Amino acid sequence: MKKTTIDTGRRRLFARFGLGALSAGILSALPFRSTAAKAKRTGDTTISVTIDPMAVKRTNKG
Amino acid sequence: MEPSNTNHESRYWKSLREYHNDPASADAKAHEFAKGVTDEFDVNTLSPMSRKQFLGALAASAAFAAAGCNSYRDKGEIVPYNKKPEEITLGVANHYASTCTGCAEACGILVKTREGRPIKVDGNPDHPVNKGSVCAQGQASILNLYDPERLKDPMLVSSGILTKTTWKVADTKLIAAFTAAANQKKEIALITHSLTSPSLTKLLGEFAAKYPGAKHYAYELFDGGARQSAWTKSTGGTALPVIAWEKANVVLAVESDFLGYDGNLPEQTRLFASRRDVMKGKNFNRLYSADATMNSTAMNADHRLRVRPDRQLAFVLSLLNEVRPSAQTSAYSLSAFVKENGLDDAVVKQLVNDLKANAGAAIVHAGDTMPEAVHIAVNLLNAALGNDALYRRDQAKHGYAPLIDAEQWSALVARMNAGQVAAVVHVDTNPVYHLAPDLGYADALKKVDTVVTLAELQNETTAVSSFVLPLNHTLEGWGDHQTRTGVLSLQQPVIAPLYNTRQKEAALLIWTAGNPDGYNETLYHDYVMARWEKEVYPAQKAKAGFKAFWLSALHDGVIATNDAAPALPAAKMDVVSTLKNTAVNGTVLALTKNYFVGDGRYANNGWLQEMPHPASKIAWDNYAALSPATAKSLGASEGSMVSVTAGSRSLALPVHVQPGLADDFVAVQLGYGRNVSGSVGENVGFNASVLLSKSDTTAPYTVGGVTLTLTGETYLLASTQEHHALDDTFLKDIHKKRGIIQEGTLAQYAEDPAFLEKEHSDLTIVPRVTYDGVKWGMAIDLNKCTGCGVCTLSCNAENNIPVVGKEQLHKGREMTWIRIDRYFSGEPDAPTVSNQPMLCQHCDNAPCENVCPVVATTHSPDGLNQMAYNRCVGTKYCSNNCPFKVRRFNFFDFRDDFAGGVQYEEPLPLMHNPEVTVRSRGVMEKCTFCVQRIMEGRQHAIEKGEEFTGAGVTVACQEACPAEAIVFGNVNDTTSKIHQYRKHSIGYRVLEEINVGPNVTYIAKLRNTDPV
Repeated sequence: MKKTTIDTGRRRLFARFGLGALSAGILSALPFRSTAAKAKRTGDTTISVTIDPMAVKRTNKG
Repeated sequence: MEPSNTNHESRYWKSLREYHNDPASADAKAHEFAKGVTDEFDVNTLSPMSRKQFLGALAASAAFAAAGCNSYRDKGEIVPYNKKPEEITLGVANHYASTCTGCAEACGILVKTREGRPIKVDGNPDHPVNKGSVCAQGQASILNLYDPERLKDPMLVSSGILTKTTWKVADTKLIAAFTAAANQKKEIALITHSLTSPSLTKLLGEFAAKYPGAKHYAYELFDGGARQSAWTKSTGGTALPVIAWEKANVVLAVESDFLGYDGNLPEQTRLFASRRDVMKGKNFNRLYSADATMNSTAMNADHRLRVRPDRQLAFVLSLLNEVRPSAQTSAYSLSAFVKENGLDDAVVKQLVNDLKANAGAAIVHAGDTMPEAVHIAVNLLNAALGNDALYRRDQAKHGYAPLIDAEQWSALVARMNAGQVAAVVHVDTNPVYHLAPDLGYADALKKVDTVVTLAELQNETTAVSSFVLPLNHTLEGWGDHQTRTGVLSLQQPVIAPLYNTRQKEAALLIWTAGNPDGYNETLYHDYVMARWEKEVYPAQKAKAGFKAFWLSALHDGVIATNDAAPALPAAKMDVVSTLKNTAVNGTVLALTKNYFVGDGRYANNGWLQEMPHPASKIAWDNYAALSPATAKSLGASEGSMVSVTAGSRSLALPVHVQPGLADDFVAVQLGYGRNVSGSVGENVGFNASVLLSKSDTTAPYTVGGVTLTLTGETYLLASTQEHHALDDTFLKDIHKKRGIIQEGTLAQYAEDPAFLEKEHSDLTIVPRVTYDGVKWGMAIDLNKCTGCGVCTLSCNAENNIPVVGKEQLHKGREMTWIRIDRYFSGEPDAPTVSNQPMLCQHCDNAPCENVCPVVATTHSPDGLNQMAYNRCVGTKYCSNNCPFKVRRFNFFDFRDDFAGGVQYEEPLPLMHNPEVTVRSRGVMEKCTFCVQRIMEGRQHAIEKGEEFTGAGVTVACQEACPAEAIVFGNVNDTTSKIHQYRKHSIGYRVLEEINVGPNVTYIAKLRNTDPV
């Protein structure tokens, strides 16, 4: 059977990909948050959306 | 200055660079993107990494990122109501009627809410004054409600530092301070803006009764005090008349911007535009504007006369002398005035003839910045012509306490300095910013023991106050408002206060009661309701009980009352002898209102800051506007810094060369240069209040003998006027006028209604698609459009348009889906102006759809050009191909990029319309014909089991337009308005000859310039 060899460039590519996948696996097990998602900015005030019970809404838009 | 007679022979230009064939202007038109946007890169600076290496690293990093993506930006918990409020149906909007308190006009508003959050403000269609539309500030006011930088808690100065406190602590200290002031017989000054509320007026009286020595002062940066006092002096009456603009055949605007910021814009625009309706015949009104500032009204005038503000009195008296010669006016010769001021004699003669021929059906109107003498002269001219027939007999302006004048301000400051004023309470006002610096108001405040400011945002006055108390937004409070006889409107909260804020009226009630523990959330609601039950309801003689009456009034937002307008007094013509000529030599400075940020109160509103000025198209700045001739004589060009000096007052400003401005004249807008505002509004523009003086009591906004000196520096002014220039020539070897603006005169139209029609070519390489069902189309009547920009603000609110800031706007990256293109024609000194709202034309043969490599832009079965944001990869090929330049690309996540990401700060994202995607970086967007509203209409039809014909669907720009210039609907419905507009003889499509098949029909503007 003819022995198949992978050329150097392609070998390096697969090596990098494999390394990336391995790292990804290790990182996913670690309890930290990536920078991919931006944290929502919130102040120190809690905002609640409340309707005033005395207000009267329109039955039609007009 | 006369406009062209035929559309194809006139030459239109958008800027002076273009007019003078500046190569830079031609270059800007030839390139889709401004210089620097798509810079070439140096190959030698590229990374030495090979392509294979790059792809390997890319794959590895993608694996990293995918593993780390455990939290998406838009991932959040969506939890349905545990206990759903009764009023709310998820996915269905509620509407509440209320009143806008952004200015003294108190327009009725209709607020759309979703899941309890207000998301859109429009006019209340039941309100008889503004009838369903509001101004740009009203539309943009929704952003102020959710401003993350609003004051959230009461604060007081403790050991020299402003620290957070509680309302109870603040109220206790203030009640003690007010009581002490009353005991010491010292003054408590309450400083408000113009009053519009009968209940608040009553409350102020009760406060004064509780604390003798309390005095109320009402002021405005641009007050209508001159108009009011002039009316009293010329007629003896006190109630200003309301003008029936729709009945005026001829209107002469004397430095009046009644189509802009003078008075009630929605009402005046609607009534004026109703006489420019081609569907109702040819009975157009004729507008003359005698002005220096090239304001919005001047841009829409049929004839324009450049008259400086200091010469307006002589001009009006000259006209009066022509109409009713008398010994008192004999010194004012119109022919001499025309000659001295270089006016067009033929136009002036036509003006006089028109005024005489339409006596009793014409109106002469002076602007708010005009001094009392001009207003008196205008009143007398109207009386001489019998034009008081156009003053409504059924309605007058409802007045409250007169505004404080300059002498009263000086007297108050003197008392403050003398220690006779124990407390000053600024009730939602900012006099430290507004008042002339030489009045010394800020210094006098230091001599006052207790300085209180109630405000929504930090401002220059809160910065020097010992108590800073946060106020509710308009949409969080109760109230009642009356600005006209016979009309009383209610204000109700559409959302409970977001923060620990209170209404100003509730604060006054606590202080009046002297009980710091007496606050509850319904305090002012109960007060207003009690007043209505005692005073309003009995006068109505309603058949229903009070409760039903009250609920009905809240539902409608407005009631008709029985208070009649007072009888119109006759003018006292002999007052003319008291008027003195105000003309000055040298350069004159006019301090003008601005269209969008108001007196500075909207400085932190990004949408309003980003709206281009109607004439200059500059945003994010004010400037010193000079005419081309004045700039040339000074050696100034666009952006040169010039020092404007009036006596001892001086301010350096950038120059804007404004075609059409009067010569030897400089115009500067007030309301800018705030140094205590928020992250959006601080240090935007230049504070021109420094040019005001307490000594200029007769004409505070017109300063004579001003000197202009170039400083040698330059400043970047961000203007949109050369953006999105539509190529006049599609191919270099075809020199053909594109007819983007097509206009004519009323006389041409009367002679031949089809004078603009031309052969339509039907050449196309693609098969025509037949739309058998609903097909959407739009028409914009350029006769009615005044270029006010309310459509743009409405679209911004409806479609979650981000603010990009000055730097990005300068690069042409503003994100507004509808813009007002402003074209000049004629000479730079006295050009004719044409406005044209431009938006996605939803072309049948859209050139953008063919070129998208990922099919992100497609065509719907009902004729819409659609965008799929999540398919778009940002090649920008579609934008490149769009001949109308209406596609907007998100070069950045602008919400994150601008002002430190303030648009992402809570609670501002609550403002977003949930029906419209919030776009992020890298996607193209454009007008969608409010597809969310179309879908809502379709859904209603499905629910009712009816065929969807498109009737009743209104788009945001159409709904907001005060002139009702925008028509939208199903073009296949032969009964619809849009169907009539599409086949109108003077309807045309922009760039029709390139056969893209635009679906927006423009009705050509007809100028009423020819003599009748």
